[in-house]
Parts: sequence; C-alpha cells; structure tokens
Amino acid sequence: MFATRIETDLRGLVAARRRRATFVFLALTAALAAIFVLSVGEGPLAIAPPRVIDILVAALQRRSTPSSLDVLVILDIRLPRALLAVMIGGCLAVSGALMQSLFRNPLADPGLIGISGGAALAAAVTIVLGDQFFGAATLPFARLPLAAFGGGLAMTLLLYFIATRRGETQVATLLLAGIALGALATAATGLLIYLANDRQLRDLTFWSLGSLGGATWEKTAALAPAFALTLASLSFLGRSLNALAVGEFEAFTLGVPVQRIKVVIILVVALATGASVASAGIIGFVGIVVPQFLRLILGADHRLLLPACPLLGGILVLGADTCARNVIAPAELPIGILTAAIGAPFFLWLLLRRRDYGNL
Amino acid sequence: MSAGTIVEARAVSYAVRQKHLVADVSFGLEAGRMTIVIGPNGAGKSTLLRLMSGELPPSSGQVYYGDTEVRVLPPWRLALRRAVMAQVTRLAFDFSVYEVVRLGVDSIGLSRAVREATIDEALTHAEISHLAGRSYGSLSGGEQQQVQFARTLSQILAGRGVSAGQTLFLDEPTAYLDMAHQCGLMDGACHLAKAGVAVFVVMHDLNLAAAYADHLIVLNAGRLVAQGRPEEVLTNDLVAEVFRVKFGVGELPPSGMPFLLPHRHAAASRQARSL
Repeated sequence: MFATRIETDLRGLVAARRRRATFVFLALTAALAAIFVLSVGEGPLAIAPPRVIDILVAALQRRSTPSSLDVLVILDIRLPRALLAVMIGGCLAVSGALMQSLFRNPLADPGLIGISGGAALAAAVTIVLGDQFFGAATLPFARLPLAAFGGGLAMTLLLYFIATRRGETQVATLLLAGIALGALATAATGLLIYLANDRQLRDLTFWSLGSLGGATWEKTAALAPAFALTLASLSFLGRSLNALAVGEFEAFTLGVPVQRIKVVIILVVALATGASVASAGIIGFVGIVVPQFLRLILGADHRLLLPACPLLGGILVLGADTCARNVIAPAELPIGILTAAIGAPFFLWLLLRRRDYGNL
Repeated sequence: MSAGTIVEARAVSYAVRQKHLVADVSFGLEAGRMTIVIGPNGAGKSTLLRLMSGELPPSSGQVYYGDTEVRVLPPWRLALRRAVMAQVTRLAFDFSVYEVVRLGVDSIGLSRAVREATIDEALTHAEISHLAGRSYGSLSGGEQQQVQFARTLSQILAGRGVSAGQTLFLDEPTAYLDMAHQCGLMDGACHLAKAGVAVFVVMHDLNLAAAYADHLIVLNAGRLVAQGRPEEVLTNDLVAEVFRVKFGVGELPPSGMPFLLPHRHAAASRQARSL
C-alpha cells in the first residue's frame, strides 16, 4: 500500500513539473510573438497588428507585395531591429545563466563583472583606431564583432584565473576583480573619447549605454551565427550545468568532463556577450534578471532553464527597445537606461533575499 | 588479492609540497564487502577516498579498476562504476530533491520509465520519498546528507544495468545525522554491499565503524597502520597509540554514566514509518 502511494506521488510530481514547464514555455512563446508583432507595428507610423502579420507572412512566403510605405517601414527598418533585439536578449540571458554556473553563483552577470566592459573597450579601440590599423576597407562588418569577442574572451579568462583557486571560485574576489577590471576598461574607453572624431564620438556614446538605433540587416546577419552557436551549445550543456551546481568534484564523479565543459562555457559566453556588445553596445542586467526570474518560476533545472532564457531574454530586450524608441518619440532613450531601471532594483532585491540565507 | 577485488590501490602515495598526505598505501575493495576507514583528524582519509575514486592522480603508485588504471578511464566510464558522496555539499542553485537525485541517472541513456523507477527506488531506499518535491535548500543538514546519499544510490543502481562491479564511496556520510538516521543510512549501505557492491566509507565514529565494517582500515599520518576484521584491528594498544585516548576497547564508562552504542540493523525508523 505504502510503496504504491509513494510511487504515485513521485509520478504525480514528475507530471506536475512537466505540465508547469509546458505552460511556461507556451506562455513565453506566445508573449514573445505578441510583443514582436506589437513592436514592429509601434512607432511614428503606427501599423495595426493584423496588417503587421499580413506583411510578415507575405515576406516569409516571399510573395511580392506592392511596396507601400508600411511594407518598407516594417521590412527595412523595424523587422531587422526587432530580430536584433530578440537575438541580443537571447545571447545576454544565456551568457548570464552560463556565467552563473561557471562561477557557481547566481549573482554573476557579464555586465556586472566587466566582461561587457572588456568587449566594449576592444570594440571602442576598433572604432577609433581601427581605420588607422587595418584601413577602412578591411572586414568592415566582421571587425567589430571579432574585436568584441576577443575583448570579452580576454576579460573572462583574466577573471577566471584571478578568482579561481583549485576549482573553487572566490565570489568576493570575482566581484571585486570584475569591478576593478570593468573600471579600467571604462577609463580606457573614456580616454579614447579624446582621440575620437565627431562621428566616432557619437558611436562611442551610444555604445556605453547601449542602443539598437543603428540596426540594419547587415548587423542582424552579423549577429545571427553567434546566436545560432549559442543556442546549439544549450542542447548539450544542460545536464553538465546541473551536475556542476553540486560542485566540480561531484560533477566529475557524475561523469562530466569538467575542464572541457568549463572551456566551452567560457568560449560561448565570450562569443555571445562579445557579439551582442558589438551590435548594440552594453545592455546591462539582462543576464542576471532573466535566469533569476526563470529560476523562480521553473526551478533550477538547467535543461528547462537554458532553453527558456532566449525566450524571456528576447521578450525583455525587445520590450525595452520598443519603449526606448517610443516613450519620448521622436527622440530615443538608450536601452541600457531601461534595462538598468528594471534590473538594478531586482538585483538589490536578490541581494536582500540572499542576505537572509546568510551567504553571497 | 582475492578474486572479488573491484578496486585496488597499489603502493599509492600522494604528496603536496614534499609532505606526504597518503604514503605507500595498498589494499583492495571487494564486491559485497563494507570497508571502513578510520583515523584521527588529518590522517589522510578523505585524500585516500579522492585517490581511490579517481579525482586525484597519485604522486606514485596506481589505482586499478579491474585491470584498468583509473587515470585512463574517461569520467563517464568511471561514473558507471562508482558513485561518490563527498563531505559537505552546498548547491549553487536551489534544486528540488527529485532533481538532485535524478543527477545520478542522467549520465546513462536509460528509458524514461527505467529512470523514474530508479529514482523512486533510490528515494525509498534512503527513506526520503516524502521529501521528493521539497527544495534542497530548505532541508536540514541531515536531510541534505540523506538526499546526497540517495543521489549516489541512484547512480549505482543506474550503473548496475550497464556494467558489473560497482563501488560506493561515502565520505563521513553520517556527520549530520541523528542516531536512528545514522543506522538507517549505514543499513542502506550494508544492503547494497549484500547485493554485491563494494562499499568504502570514511568515518570518525569508531563505534559505528566497529558495528558495520566487514573490513576495517586504520590510517595514521598517511600510513595504513592496520587492517582486518574490526575485532582484530581495534585493540587497546592501537586505540591508545593512534587515537590517543586513555580508555580501552570494551571498557565501560564510570558507573552511573549513561551510554548508547549503535548496533547493525537496529534502526527502528523503517518499521515505525511504514505502519
């Protein structure tokens, strides 16, 4: 009797988990689709959602539509920007989740610990000095993403070696070293302002707070491979990240090739963060808000958490960007201001909550 | 070495900066036998466990799993042949008990039904079925220890379907448990040993060790100073020399002082709870 009851309990538990996960994924997908349609329709030329869907469907089926003004606005201006926002949100949210697993701490975020700063510095150097070094014609599209990837990778490795001793990351060292390195990167970026000409200066300012204002199909296409690689890595990382959460030694005893997985994490984080910084500057707090919020509703299982990250990340960045370009129209707010306004209070709330558990 | 030897240490040493934490230790873990390692603080017990489980490479000597040296086995193959419960385990994120126990069966491509049956069996065996839906972080230290025990059980049970000759390593598994749960956990380990698993336990409690060990190993300052059946090993001379206490084996405390000793299979909890 007793054994049967427990068995049914466990089966019920598993079924309830699956139901909740299905519901969350459906809700996130629906919300992303709804925000996408709204965002593409919203703007100085307002286009109603049914018309937006018509135009998008027609474009997907490669049907030639009479090129009226609203078709042009959507296909040439708003669609690439919305796609860019979704991919950036996905990249940043996944980077955050991976960082948190690597450092075994839910407060790690690529923006907070200076990885975005490193990527931005490398990109700023490329903006200001790139023409002199490489000549204007060399790799104009790939140059920024590559530089940002290199900067992000260098920063991640540097932090990892500073803060980790024998597989254990000292969280205080990590955060403080991240702040120090981030400040250094910001200072160096500031120095570049004095070397920049007018056009470069505008680029630099927009970078430090983040903006999708410069979205084009070229930028969207440049981010797409990084986004695809990031998504592909999620398919095999989930189980390993779960095991890593118990500890590096335990993960090893559970059969995870720990060193190899750590290298993969560092590369994916540098790629995803670097590529999104290269296309829209520093957008803070996405990497911490999204995984944390998802943990509250889905639990900590990375096999559910990781695929949900790009969905909610996309919703957050696309929503923030839609606000950024509409609240003070015709002017635009930097999107970093909006994500910080949501993210910083959330981060503080997390800190206070964790303070009650007595560990950082 | 006898035919049932699954894991074997051959003259294993481990040194850090010229200091030998484990020095020239040889012994075998046999299928169906509960081997318990005792020794004072800093004797090298946990280091020995990490050497045997394949985490640390020995400075000299070798550890063999069957005919294969441990360092050539990739992590996933090793995971099929042994499970390890380390000392203190704090999770980075708040998993549920079910998710922690599931980690043990994830590495192997089992069908969903087999996976769930294995998890169920491990939960029942560790007497924590009632905790399955709880969050790990909300549990007491003792309950967390039982969950980690269930995780290693699920790994052993899952591995058994794939390869024969499992070893279970437990590092101070009873440190945070009350007496009933100490006996319950050790009974569970005993049960596995009866089913043919080699069990290797590091512990401080000499009474518990004496009650449960089929084979007792005494470490002192990294050296193996005695091994054999508990009644052969635990002598007054050894206890005085290695553990530096004045009282002897089987000696009663001064009259009027209450004392309680654990017995094998003495846990009343299982019967009481299933009524």
